[in-house]
Amino acid sequence: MNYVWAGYSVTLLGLGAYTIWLLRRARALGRGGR
Amino acid sequence: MWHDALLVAGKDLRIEARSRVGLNQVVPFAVLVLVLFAFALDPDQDVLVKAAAGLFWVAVLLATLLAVQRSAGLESGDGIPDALRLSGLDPAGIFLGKAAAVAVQLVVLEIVLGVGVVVLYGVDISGIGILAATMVAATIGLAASGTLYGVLAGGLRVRETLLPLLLLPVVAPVLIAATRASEAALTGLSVDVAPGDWLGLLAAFAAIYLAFGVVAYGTLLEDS
Amino acid sequence: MTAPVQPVRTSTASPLSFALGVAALVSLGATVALGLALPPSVEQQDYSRLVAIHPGLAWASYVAFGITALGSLLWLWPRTRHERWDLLAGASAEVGAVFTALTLATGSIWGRAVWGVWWVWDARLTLSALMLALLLGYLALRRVPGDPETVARRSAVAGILASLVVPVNHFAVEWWNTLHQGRSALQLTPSKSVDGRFLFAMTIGFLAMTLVYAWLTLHRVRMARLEQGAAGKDLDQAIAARRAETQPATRPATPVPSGGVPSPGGTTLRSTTLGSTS
Repeated sequence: MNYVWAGYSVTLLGLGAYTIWLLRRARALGRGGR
Repeated sequence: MWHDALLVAGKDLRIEARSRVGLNQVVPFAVLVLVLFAFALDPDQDVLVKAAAGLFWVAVLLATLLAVQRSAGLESGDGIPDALRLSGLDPAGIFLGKAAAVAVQLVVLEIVLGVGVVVLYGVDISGIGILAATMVAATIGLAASGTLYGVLAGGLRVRETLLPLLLLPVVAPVLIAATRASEAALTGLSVDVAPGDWLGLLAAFAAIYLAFGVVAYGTLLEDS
Repeated sequence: MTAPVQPVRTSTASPLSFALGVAALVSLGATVALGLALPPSVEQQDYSRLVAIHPGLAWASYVAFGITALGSLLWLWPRTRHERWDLLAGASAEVGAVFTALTLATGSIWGRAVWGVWWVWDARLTLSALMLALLLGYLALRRVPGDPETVARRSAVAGILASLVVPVNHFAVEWWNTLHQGRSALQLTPSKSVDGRFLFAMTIGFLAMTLVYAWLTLHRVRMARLEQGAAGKDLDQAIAARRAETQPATRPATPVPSGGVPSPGGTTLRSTTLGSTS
């Protein structure tokens, strides 16, 4: 069961981290920074 | 197209014959790789004989990187790309010529390495026909894909580090197929493999990249 | 994963992508709920619950690779040449690299659970690994600076070149794997005797990963546009600052050069503006 949790956590964390990076960078760019 | 290809291939081979960069640097490097493999693995000859086909083709792949970089470097000096475009040569001909020159050098290299494998690893070559066919098919594929990636990365400042990253995943199937196809011939072991399938895969790889190069080399030359 | 639905008012947000984000989040939630609720199967115990996410991730990574190839092709084709195809190809490759990495990670975890080792030279895992290498090479090439047109051209050719090898790779690793392990090796995806519930969870997983991919790619494309704009704006500011330094204080403030030349590309702006001043 631990491996199941690991698989789901890795997927959600990976997608979440990329999403957050994308949104933060987009917001910074939208404000006129870089 | 064929005439232009002959011209370009002749030019590259003449440069090589006069500078001897391939003969004096790439060939010794590839032989050195074979020796290093022997150091890394057990000097026990069984291991080396079993792995000979794979080690041979890995050495060829590493040498291909150098040969391709050299070939692309010939065309990336100051103003040379412009001169090449102004020359009025058919881009497809340039591509075929450069790929042919690389292929000729690789064949020479493979023959030297083949002798090296026999001498250093104690391998008995049993099926010379299959080996020759594998070499031809794999070499054409390596030369075609290598020439394309060479010109793609040729004008860039980071080409030495970028080219291996771009080229090696692409030629990975060549390594797999050539190793499997030549395994029986090179190691003398009885492997129940149909080398014909692997040869077909090598031929398909070569055909795909040759066709793409003939069509797209002009686009790549436009501003690299 | 609450980030997608936050109504962030940046230029990458739009009503369409908001709806898409909500749909992606809901289906992803459904995938997790359905997947974790799956009953343990006979051969794999409860590890079969990974079937809800791993095939979906692999599917999305294939889609991403295909879209990159398609975007490259559309850019290269003179009639459909438009900057947007180049941006789409680049965005799809980056998102695809994320999905491919996750495919490898979940496949590896699944392999560890079922086979007891982190890596098996399974045909599909090997193919995914090679695809990740191809994508990383493509992204590295994209990051090499240059004239936008040149970068787009060489990226498009590289995208096509990389996608050409995928079918060859497929056969190579398939045969290679068959030789060494035989067909008896346990397949990661339970292809035979699949229970209806597994199939349903897997299908929802495919849907969820496709939606997440679409949402991420859409935002990545819009972000690339913002990046282009920011690069041009920075350059304008830098040029204005340099001019203010060099010019005598008696003269009035210099006009910002971007007012006269509405050029989207930073590099062309640089060459024209600096050429005229110096």
